[in-house]
Amino acid sequence: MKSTEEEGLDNIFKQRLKEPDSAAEYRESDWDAFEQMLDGEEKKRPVILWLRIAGGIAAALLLVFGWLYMQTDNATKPAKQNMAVSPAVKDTANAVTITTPPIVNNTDNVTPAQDNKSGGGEHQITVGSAKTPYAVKGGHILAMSKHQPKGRSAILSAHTFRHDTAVLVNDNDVNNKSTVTLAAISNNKIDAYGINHVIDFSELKNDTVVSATDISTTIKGIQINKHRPQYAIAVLAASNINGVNSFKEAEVGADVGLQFSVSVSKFTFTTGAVYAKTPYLTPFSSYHTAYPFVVNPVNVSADCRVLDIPLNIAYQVYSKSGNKFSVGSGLSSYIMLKENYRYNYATPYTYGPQGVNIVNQNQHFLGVLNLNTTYQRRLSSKLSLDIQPYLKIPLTDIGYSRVKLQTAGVAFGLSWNLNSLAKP
Amino acid sequence: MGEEELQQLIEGCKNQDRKCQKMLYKALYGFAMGICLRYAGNRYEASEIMNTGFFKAMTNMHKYDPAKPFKAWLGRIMMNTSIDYYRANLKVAYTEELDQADHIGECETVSSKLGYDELLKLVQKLPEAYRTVFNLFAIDGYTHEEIGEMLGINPGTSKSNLHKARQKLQKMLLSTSGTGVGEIRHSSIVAIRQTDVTDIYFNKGFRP
Repeated sequence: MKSTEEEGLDNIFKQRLKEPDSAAEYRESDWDAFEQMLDGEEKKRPVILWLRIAGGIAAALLLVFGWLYMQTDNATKPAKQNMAVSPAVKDTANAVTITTPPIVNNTDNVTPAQDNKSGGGEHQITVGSAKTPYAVKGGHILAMSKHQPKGRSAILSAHTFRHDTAVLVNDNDVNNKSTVTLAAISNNKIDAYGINHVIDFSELKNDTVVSATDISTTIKGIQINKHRPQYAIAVLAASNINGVNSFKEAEVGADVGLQFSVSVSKFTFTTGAVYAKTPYLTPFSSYHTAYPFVVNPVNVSADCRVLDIPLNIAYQVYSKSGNKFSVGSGLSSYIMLKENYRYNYATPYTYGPQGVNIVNQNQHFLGVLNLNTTYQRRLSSKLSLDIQPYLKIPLTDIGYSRVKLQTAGVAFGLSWNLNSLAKP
Repeated sequence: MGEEELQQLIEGCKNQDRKCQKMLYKALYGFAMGICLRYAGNRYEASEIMNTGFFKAMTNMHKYDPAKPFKAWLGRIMMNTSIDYYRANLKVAYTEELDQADHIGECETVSSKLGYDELLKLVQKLPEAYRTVFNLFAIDGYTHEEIGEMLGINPGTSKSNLHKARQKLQKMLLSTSGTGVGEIRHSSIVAIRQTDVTDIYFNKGFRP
């Protein structure tokens, strides 16, 4: 409790200072300094705004085009999706049926079905040899290789083979010469192969391989949900360099994280959590602090622990023989867990603070632009190796020091295809 | 300035009308500077704090609730900006021993004769940690619990700093009555909790 004397002292200061009898004299120089702050903000804002708007538009366009792409592909699919099938291997997810009797014309050429973008209708495959594989995609029949497979493999070399919904392949080494195997391959597996790739039938489970006893087949339609989302988790570790404004005096850092991704067609959406050790060196001129230094440090060594939560989208630009390349972009949120700053003075005997520690005080939501490219190498039907060079560009000032902290690095990771866990 | 005129200026500021911004700045300069001066160590720092405060106000004008007094909103921004400006130094405790103040009555007599400028000078001479607590408690009317929360210190530290602030003011007032506004020297800093000065030591243990 205040004593009367203390209260009296407080009151005197309160009365005189709270309501000054003479207001501070206005100084035009203060306004000039303030105007500079306003001008600086106005110049800065359009750049940041532009980057954010551009990022938003890019993401929206990707989504729209992705959706349109899917719509177009759906429209080209036959409306009726049924065929007689070998009873033992019926797959509900990838419903493939084959009807007989066959129509046999003695030719190796594909008789292209009519362009059936309107959907529905029959597509006849006419073959003259059991050794000729074919692929069927939507309303089109694709020519396949005549190569004879060895063992339990067949080589698909159709130049048109892309995200096909089914392939008709020869499998003589497994069955009799007169037998043709129709392999309907779900999107995820097709994705994993691509053109000119050896398909190992041991990887194609019963649900995706359908055997027909007749070499000639009329295919009424194939239904495969080629746009079924593919889910994957990945463990990533990266080495990176960090710099303020540039990478001239970059410091080496590292991060480790877990990522979850959803792929639809050629688009992959990724999020996750990455714990990053981010050291950097900044000249004092770029460092912001309210602390009034008597003698300014020359530079500041920072060591930050950051939780990076990315929201990225990637587009697959290349896919062949189990190798995929994609380019991506997105925004990251930085949760600054720990920030440690050490002040480096010109002379070691300078009188001043040595550093400062900040804990859990700064968060930058969607404040960092991510640019990356990813190479993915399929190791098996479940596992892939990822190599991802990336660049992180700040859209806002980062951390207590409010610096333009940028990061570049290469992440290595292992992806686990979660769809492989799902039962047919 | 009338309330209507003030609201018009605020609207202009929301649209980033430079003319309105300057008029509002000029109109509230004295008010804002009055707050910053008693939290700051000198006029130069006060100007810097005030401009930072005005900048926050101008760029967050859309958050202002017109149902409430604008000056109170701006005053709060100035106070918070002042605290932020010295945040690095607010959690320190000074180690010098103070004389027991036993001249309260005399101080009161002396201080009652001093004007705004003299009292402001005395407050500005306080170390930042003391000055801020004294301002928040004695002038702006916050409790020690509230101050503790605002500054990230224990209420006990707030009480202790207030006590020391008063002692220093008393000592300066006594000194003023004799030789003018006295000079107070304080010794070094010791640190405190998470934000800032946990690791503030003086370089290599050397002092000039």
